[in-house]
Amino acid sequence: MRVSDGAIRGEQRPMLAGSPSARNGRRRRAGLAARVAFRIESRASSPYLPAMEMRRFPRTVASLESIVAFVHAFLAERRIDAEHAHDADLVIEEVFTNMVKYGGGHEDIAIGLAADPARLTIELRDFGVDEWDVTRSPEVDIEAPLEQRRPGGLGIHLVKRIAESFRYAYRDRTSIVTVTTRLV
Amino acid sequence: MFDVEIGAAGNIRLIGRLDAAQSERAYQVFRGFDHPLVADFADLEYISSAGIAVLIETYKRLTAAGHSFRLTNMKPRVRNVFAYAGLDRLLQIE
Repeated sequence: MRVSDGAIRGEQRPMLAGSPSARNGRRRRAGLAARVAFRIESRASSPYLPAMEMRRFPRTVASLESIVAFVHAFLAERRIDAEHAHDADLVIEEVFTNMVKYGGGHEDIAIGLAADPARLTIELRDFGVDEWDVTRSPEVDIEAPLEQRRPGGLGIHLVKRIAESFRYAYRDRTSIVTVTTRLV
Repeated sequence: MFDVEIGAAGNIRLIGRLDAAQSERAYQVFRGFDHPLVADFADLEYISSAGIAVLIETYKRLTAAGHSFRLTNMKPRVRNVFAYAGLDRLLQIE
């Protein structure tokens, strides 16, 4: 996959005919009906995902403001509402800050977004790092009383609660975290 | 953007987004409170685990000193984050 400061556009292919609910979903988001899907090179097993837009951000929490601007522009273009924007913001912030704190890398972190009528796909790439599968982070005991709660772990717990899927891959010294959230 | 408006009689209003980039500033504001507190969340658009950590610390500190800390008027999407964290049963959310 080519990663750059600009959007990534893969091989252009026509969108597959969807189910009635998928078609209704497309009607609710004007503009999507005319969209075409793109093949993403890194997902050969799922060739009809829509285009993924990707940007790189400096690995500091100060990047969150520009990350939010990127995410909200992407979602607004597709008329995805505030409730789903909140979920996307939360997933991205928690994974991004986890990479900043614990990733151990020095390069910018790439964030990619793709949407189809049913789901939002979020991908974060941390380059030049050791393998660390964040999806296997220790579970947080949310039944514990406040007195026993210690900082740490809650963010990834929130991602697990929100996500439809939460996956980790490691190749070429790059940690790749992929999260999907439901849009319908 | 995140801001805290401080009103009379221990009432405060949270505004904007309480995320990891704002949590240290929020912590500095909240540590200055040493009295019963009512926080109005009506204008808080977003909170993450970093913001929740600030509120938990404040809640522990105030209740240990015998003060109350009430969280009011949350938007559903903000309240959901507290519910996911199992805090809706532990904090005084109204």
